[in-house]
Amino acid sequence: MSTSSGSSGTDDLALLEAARGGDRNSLDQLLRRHYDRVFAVCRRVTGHESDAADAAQEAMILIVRGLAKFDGRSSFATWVYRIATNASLDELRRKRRRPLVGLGSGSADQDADDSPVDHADPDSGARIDGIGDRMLLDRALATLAEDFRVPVVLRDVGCLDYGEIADVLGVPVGTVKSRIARGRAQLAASLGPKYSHGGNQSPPSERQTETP
Amino acid sequence: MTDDLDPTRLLASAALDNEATADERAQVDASASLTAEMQAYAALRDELAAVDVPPASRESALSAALAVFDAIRNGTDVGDHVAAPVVALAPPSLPPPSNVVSLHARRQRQYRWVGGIAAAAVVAVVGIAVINGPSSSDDKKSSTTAPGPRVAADGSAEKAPAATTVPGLATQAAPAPAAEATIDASASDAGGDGGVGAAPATTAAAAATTAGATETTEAAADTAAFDPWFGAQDFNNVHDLAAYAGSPQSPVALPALESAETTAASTADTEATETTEESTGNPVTTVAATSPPFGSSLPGSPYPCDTGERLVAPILWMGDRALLVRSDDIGEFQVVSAATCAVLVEFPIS
Repeated sequence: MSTSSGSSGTDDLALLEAARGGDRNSLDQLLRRHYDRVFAVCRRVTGHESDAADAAQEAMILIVRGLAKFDGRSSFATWVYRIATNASLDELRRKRRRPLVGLGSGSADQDADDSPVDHADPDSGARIDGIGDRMLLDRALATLAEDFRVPVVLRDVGCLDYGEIADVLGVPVGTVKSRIARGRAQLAASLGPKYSHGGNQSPPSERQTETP
Repeated sequence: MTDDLDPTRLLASAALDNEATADERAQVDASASLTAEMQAYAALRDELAAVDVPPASRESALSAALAVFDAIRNGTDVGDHVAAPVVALAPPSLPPPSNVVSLHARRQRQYRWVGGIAAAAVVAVVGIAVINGPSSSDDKKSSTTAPGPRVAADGSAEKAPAATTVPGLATQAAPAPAAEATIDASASDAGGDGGVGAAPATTAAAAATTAGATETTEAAADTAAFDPWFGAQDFNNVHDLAAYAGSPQSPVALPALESAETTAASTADTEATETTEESTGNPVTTVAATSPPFGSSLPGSPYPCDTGERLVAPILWMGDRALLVRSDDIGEFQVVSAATCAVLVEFPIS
């Protein structure tokens, strides 16, 4: 995935200016640079691959429509992830009646179906474990309140710093710090010993019970 | 929850993110427990960040965005109704995306066929009227139709024994059984990526629907020109909107439909619609506490969004077209942008 800060920030602005000037290739480059991470943020916020694809596409279109409005007060990456976050949350609200993942709804199964496993494949066992891990992670994220999930995702997936996350969410930096810590603590508790300090290294799929 | 989270545990998280002060960092380094916790969070971060990005989604999204860019440059951008053309942006190793359709266009494609559906309905009604002659006049007061599936707001088909009243249309009759397969195909495609492919199915469904079993009124002739936002109230703040939503007479009155003649509709949402017969003998629909489901997946619906909620009224929010919907599940009213289908405002049902 591409980086969203540092030297690429300067590149972003150069590409942005070129795109504003009508350079289609620069826009393509700029969007392509951020798409994967935008998708990842959307995937973790929505908990569903197809919803993430919709939200990420929506975000890309909104970015294009908002190019002229971007005033540079925040970094381009911050602006992009704010749009992606809002697109994801909008997507969630649109689909509010559909549970995020699993939990008896079949959504997680559907995600699992996105990566079909050939049971004749000698590696299928490992893949099943991987799918189980993903489902468990999705389930844990789904149980996390939006106020905690979004900052954790923006930090761990979007790689935004606390100040940028505060800017995206419109809350103080101290709140971001607290929410990320609490969100991580809840996630770790949901996922079991591997993510609790001093825990073992067994994959989530091997764990049957939650650690308080 | 985690309200009782030990403050020292905040340090592990902050240290991982390089957001801790030097003193805090030293505190973490001095504690085996906090160090282990930080390492556990690092492992969690790695798992969270490991997301596979489907190349097809990437290329489709970028193509759609660049199509909007082209439309803006050409002065042909029509907001949320842009249907992105095929743009071969994929690297040589990837096949270029075909039939790229913007997200909004995908969600709203059935909206474009409202005119066609209405035209088909008018043709069918005229035909039926000619065939049945004066003897059909009594039938005008009822909308008894053959049992068939009703396409729900969420795009799924559900059985409904009678006709369905769709906001903005005088009557939307339940299709005859013969039309079932077509309707189902159309409904299921609404949530997929079929894009253009949905159009013939929708049109066929509309034709089958009207030919199948329905009676309607001359109000259907106005359907094609029906604008749900004609006369819609403009709101600039939640306070006024909440007052509007909470008032007994205004919330569910569809502005352009208040005096519209319509045939009675006995739907699954019987609590939502009451049909009364006035002295004129013309059945008039009055809407009770809530209005029927709406959405672009409803054949003939003039509304662009599929929120799965109940429509209260089309409104203007800050001058832009929007829909006031009511979600009893979460106990909130929501203002949904008609342009993006995004939730703009939420407030509790008082």
